[in-house]
Amino acid sequence: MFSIALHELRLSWRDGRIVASLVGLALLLAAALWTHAGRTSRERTEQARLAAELREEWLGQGEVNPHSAAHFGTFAQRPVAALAALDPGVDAHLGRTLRLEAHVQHDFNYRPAGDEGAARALGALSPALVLQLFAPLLLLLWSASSFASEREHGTLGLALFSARSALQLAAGKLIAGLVLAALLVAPFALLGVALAANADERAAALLMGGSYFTYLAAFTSLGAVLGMLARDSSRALLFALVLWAASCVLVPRLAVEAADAAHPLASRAEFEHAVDTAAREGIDGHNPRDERRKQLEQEVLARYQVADLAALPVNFDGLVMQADEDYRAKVYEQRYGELFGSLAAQAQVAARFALVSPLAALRPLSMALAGTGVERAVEFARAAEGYRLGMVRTLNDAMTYGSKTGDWDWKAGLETWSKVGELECAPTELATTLRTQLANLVALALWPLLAGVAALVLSRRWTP
Amino acid sequence: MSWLAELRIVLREQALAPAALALAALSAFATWNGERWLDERERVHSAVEAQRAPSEKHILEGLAAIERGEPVPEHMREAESMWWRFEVFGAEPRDAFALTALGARDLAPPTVEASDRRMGDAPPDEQRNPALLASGRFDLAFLVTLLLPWFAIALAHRLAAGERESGRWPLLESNARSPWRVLAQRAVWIVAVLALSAGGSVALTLAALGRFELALAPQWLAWTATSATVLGVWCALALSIERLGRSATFNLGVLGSAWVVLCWAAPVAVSEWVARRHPVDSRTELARLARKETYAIWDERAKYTSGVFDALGMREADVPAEVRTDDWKHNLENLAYSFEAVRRIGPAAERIAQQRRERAQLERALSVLSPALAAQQVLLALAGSAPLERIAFEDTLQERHELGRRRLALAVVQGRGLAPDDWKAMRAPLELREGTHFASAAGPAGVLALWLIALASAAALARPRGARNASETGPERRVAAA
Repeated sequence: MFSIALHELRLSWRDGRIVASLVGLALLLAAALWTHAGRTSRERTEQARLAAELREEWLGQGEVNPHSAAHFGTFAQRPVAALAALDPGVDAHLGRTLRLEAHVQHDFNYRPAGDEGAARALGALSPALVLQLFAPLLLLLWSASSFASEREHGTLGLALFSARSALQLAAGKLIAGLVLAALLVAPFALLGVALAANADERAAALLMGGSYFTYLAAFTSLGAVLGMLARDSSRALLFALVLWAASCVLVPRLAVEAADAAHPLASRAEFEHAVDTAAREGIDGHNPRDERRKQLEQEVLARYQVADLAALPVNFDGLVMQADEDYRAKVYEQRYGELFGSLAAQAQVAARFALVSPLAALRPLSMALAGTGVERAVEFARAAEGYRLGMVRTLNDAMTYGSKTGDWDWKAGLETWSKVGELECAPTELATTLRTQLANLVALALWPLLAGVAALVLSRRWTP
Repeated sequence: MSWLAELRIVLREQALAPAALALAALSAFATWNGERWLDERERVHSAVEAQRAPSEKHILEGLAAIERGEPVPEHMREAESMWWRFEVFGAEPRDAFALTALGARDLAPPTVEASDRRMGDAPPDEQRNPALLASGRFDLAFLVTLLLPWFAIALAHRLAAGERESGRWPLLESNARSPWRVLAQRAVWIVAVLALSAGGSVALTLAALGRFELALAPQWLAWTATSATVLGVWCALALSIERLGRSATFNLGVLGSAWVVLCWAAPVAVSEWVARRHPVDSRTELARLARKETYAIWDERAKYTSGVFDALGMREADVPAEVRTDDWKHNLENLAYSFEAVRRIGPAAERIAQQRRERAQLERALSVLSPALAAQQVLLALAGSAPLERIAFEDTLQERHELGRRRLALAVVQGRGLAPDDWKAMRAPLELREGTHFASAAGPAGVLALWLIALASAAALARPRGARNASETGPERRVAAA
């Protein structure tokens, strides 16, 4: 079996077309890895610079009213994952920074793709994409041609004679295909390991390599099935191309439309209007802002046992702002909860297409392992919102307990600003990622398994 | 007669009928899907209009009164209060044909407000799932640029090789006409049947959905012609390769590689190069600048009052002394804040807009490098969804906003109420370019036609080579190796 595999590899090595295709693909992969490793490194440097400047800006804003400082706010930066060099995921379609200020939970804005031209819709260069789109094409064609040409060229009888059985011959050819797949995936995974900053990332890089290998193994096996079923190599190649175009080009876009149709997202304008209305009229529409304010006033006056606001030992404006912030936080939690829920539901619909295309399982898995998927962005958005609420509360408290009602000229300084720490968002643990991606992992693993079994079963009837 | 005979052969030998049916199904799906998108877009637009209705009610009533020749109502007379509330609201040009290519429309909301507040900000993104955007949309533009070539490749790669491999080539050669002429006829049939199948399916689906109007006919014809040209380009390329006299497998390999190069590698290379050539400044930095400058200016706004007069092309001395009250000075300081902010932040915002324009223009020029890029530019222009269209729409809104701000500022500085003419100028209908632009499509369409002419010439003029000896590539070599 291994000698057959070795023989197949030797034949491939002698075939100029295969070598040229492999070299072309390797060059493409190298270019993508080089470009993205450089881009990731530049983005990380830029983020570090911006983070330092933003902190300096925050601490160095001088003496101002805390509410003014809350509006001045700051920016949170979605961290650049080390493995983004392998799979940039949603980075082009999601802004990198979040504006943090009083009253408003901003969404990620300024997606780079918004500034890009029309060519972007036709494709992008990334190592993941090279392995997702072109490596399967090569292996599918190689495998289909390798199996179909035996019969077409009349060499099947000879090959079966030298092998112990058709099963062994098919298995040998499949092993050769897997070696080619491993050759393509190895630099990808190794670079990931080299770029990884910790053990979890290193393991994630290796798992990414494993996932891509599994994915390519599926296409190698599918190519074998087509090669054995087709009458000649021309038809085998044609079927292989159709299969590739359907599973790697057509199905992913169909999945997008199905997900979008099943769980449509509210438009930006409707989302903002709903938030404003809920904040103004109350989440249930029966608790308007003025009523809430009156209620708070009565509670505060009763708590401090004074008759009017001027007699309060605290700044009532600060209390009102904090109460409003708390209320808006509830509104945002509800609305963003719905939005994030819709994103997750869309992902689930898209994942169902893994039944017809292994790419539908690989793509979200790869992004999740690289830390560039939507789930990670949602985690960060939640962490940033927690940070924003903490920041605004600190500033409102400073105003409430440091000044009197109506004293808008009161100013705080460095001591107050220092109380607002820096945003920290712990990376997702690998185990958590794997748990959330279990369905995709299983679907991906089933593809080569089923296709491989089908190829081996078909080989029993593989006769000259 | 011979043409019909060739059609029969193509239908029988090349699986043209199932391919045409598959293409019709895909076109119908893409059209239905585009219509669904357009419906949603129009619903959002109506919802935004409804949201604005309560706040717009008094203004619209006032404008109606002004139109009737009545004086400006009291609530619309104070320029200084309107100054803070003034913003220009606009909806992107609507066009039913937008459903054929979503392009830049898909990423941006259908309605935009231009205001000073937004100056330091990008036009907001539409709410979309980024993971889905990364995979791309299934619209008719995708179908034509990326999928249609596969139909041509699948059907045309064995036009000659199939004849040779089945041993019918001598029969073709015995014909009075040149075999290549016969094959060209078959290629023309492939193009015609597939283009009609796609175009017909789009028209029928639009009609079934109640979207097809006579006004759309020119766009539909142009769309069908573009599809035919794309198919023609790939069939011509296939015939050129067939002239080498190699096997169907070889042809398929070369055509598949050509698809990768022309439909993916070239667009990606163009996209990357354009991004490097015209990098767009960081919008986060612009937002930071806006935040920093507006905070810095506010406390010192009294220092910048002269900037208001400079911007309006007048001198403070031109304002009568009786107008210059304390309130007037206060209002002038507020104007100074806004004018100074625009002066400081405006160039950075304009630079980004300019960088986006340059990017889109360069990419358009580079569409000459790939028929897929050229086809995409044509389809986006026909649908009014090209990035340049969106930029032009946003520019128009911004210009109108600046014009309105100038009117308001003049009224504030001159210490007068707003006149009917001010309102007429500020609320005149926006002169947006139509959604669909045949003129914009003409350039890339010419490029696409050039591709077709060049490849058709290659197919017609290249010297045909005989089939290579099978022993050079075929079984003998494999047997020897085995």
